[in-house]
Amino acid sequence: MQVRSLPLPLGGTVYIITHLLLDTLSYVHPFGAFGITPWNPSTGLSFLFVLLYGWRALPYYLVALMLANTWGRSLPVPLSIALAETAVRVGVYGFALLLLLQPGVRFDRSLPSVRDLFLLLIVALGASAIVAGIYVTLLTVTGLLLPQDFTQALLRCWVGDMIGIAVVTPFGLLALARWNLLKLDWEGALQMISSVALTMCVAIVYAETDQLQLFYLLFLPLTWIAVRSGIEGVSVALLLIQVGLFLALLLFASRNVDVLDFQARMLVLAVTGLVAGVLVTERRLAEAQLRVNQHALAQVSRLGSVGELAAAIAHEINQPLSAASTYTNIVAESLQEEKLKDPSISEMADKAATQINRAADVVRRLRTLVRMGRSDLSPTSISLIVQEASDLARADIERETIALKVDLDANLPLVMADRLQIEQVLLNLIRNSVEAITETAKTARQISIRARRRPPFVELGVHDTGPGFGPGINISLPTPLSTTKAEGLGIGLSLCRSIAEAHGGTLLINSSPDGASVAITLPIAEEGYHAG
Amino acid sequence: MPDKITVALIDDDDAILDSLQNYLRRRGLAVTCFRAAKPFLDELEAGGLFDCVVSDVRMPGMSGVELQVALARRMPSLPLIIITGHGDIDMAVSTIKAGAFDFIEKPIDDRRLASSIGEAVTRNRDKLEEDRQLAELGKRYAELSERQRQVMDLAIQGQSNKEIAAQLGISPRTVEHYRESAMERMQANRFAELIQMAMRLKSHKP
Repeated sequence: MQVRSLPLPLGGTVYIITHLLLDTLSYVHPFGAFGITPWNPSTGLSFLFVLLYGWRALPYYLVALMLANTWGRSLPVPLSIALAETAVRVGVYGFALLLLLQPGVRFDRSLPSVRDLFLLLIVALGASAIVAGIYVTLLTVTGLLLPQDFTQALLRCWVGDMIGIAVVTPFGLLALARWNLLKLDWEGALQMISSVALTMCVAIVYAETDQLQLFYLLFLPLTWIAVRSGIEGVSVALLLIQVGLFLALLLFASRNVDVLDFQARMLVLAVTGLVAGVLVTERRLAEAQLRVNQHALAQVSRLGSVGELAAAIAHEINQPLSAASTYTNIVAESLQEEKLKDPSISEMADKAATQINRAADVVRRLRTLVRMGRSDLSPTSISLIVQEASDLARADIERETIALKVDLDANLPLVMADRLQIEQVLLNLIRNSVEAITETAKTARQISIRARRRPPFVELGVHDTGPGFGPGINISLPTPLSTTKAEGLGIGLSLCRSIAEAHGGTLLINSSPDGASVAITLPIAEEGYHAG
Repeated sequence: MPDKITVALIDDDDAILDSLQNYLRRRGLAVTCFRAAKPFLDELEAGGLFDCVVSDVRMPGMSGVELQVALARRMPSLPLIIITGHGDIDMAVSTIKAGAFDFIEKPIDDRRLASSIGEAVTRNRDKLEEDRQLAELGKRYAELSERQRQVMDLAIQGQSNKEIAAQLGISPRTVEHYRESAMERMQANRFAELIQMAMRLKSHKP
């Protein structure tokens, strides 16, 4: 699934502003004076940003961190240490994420599978441990941090970054891939309200009594959400739970509580919820794909069995019909030789023979139809194909008040083609264009059929003024079952491609917001054949 | 036609066999029906003589295409006409390439079948006659004495008796004698006929 994003300069600016905002808002319960907070959502945001834009995001990341470290808060940390921390973060996180984005890793940013989620979490876990290790070591070596606080600071730094990533990054990726993360029904609302309310209760109890047993109650709503709404619901809930937790602590806590224990459990909750959610989502996607496949298969096998039925009927009728035809011819011929009392008998025998031959013709034609599956290449005139196909499509085109333009090069040579199959291709393309144009409100409603001489081929295609292809189709290689249409099966274009390739040609697709053009190339028939 | 044409008709469908047999008999052909390829081949093995074979493709046991292969090995001169209810262009092309005389789709146009059989048999008989004549000529030529053959070979190259005499070291009168005896043995009435015979022999025995 495609992950949408803004153009970089704009996206980068939005990122820097959001980063500073998050950094300021989440600057609560710092450890010592080193900017180590138990929740670091800006790291999660930076992860999201780098995953969206790749290496080009790194300069923005650097700028955002520098601004946050020097400007947002007055730290007693020397500038050199702040700069070193910035460099370590950008270097380690940047490197880890670019590694994750390598094509060989096949990481899908829309997190459709357990594998993708695990890849993200493992990279986050490793990279944040390294960052925490280097930074805290740096603080200790320079004497800013007491050695006995090393473990405590390391843990905080690590958990803070990890929780920030686990909460913000999947949410952002999923939100950009699928706008509607949640169905806004009573169940979704109840799920969110209950998890936030429960979080606040747990947080207040914790703040008052230091008791954390109630925390495990949070697994209940999260499991519910995972099972019903998949990873999309979980990612929204985690964000709300985290925000609810901090609001509760800020608003209701009478004392300054240490939230590290809380956050460590929160991390377990987040990872568990995300994994359970992605398992559900993965299964749902598989089921949806299965349904589409079954539908397509049913369609194909229906077509196949109609063909087979026709072949079987043709064969079964063929034998008796052949014999009947011969018998009738014998009767008709011998009656002609006889002197009959009633000469019209002979005439009737002739008529019987004619009718049987007519039936035989029907069977022959039926067999030609069944044979359509195989290519039967012969020198064929493009203008004839265009003529017949546009005649067949005319009713559809005119019903939608679309103008049809036929634009063929003069003196087109004959092509080696199976006329019926190429007409089928042309009809498919025209039908696609009609549907595309019907979907738009544009005033230009035109379909042009074009044929161009491109030795050793002729390019035959259909151009329309529709909206072009959406992101759902792989233009370079349409495969069965990929479609941009709500009811379509996606067999049309891939069938066109197979037919073109069976002819030794190719399928060419060009798409822009001004319209789409799809063409096939057909080999020119050898010298000696000329268009008449 | 010197004799009645004999046709072997092979199809696993009784109605097809019966109707075609009746039709072809009315046209003066002698038809023997077989319900499979195997009995036909057995009959051929036992010395059965046919001018033409008409066979279906899809039959239990040996198929028409397998029959074609078997026939090409045993009796390449026997013309085969394929009739089929499953015909397609690929199959037609491949059977014709493999030496079938014709390919007719069911429902059968029986006039076309009859004329195809006639054509196949005529062409085959012409070919057999040609072969027979050639064999006869070859035999006569082989029976010539060495001198007769020498004189004949030089004469048909257009050399005069004198030239031949000089070349072979004999008198022109003796050449004339050999020439007449060679023409007699070859059963040529005129010298032009002898030249034709020599050319036919040459074109078939490179």
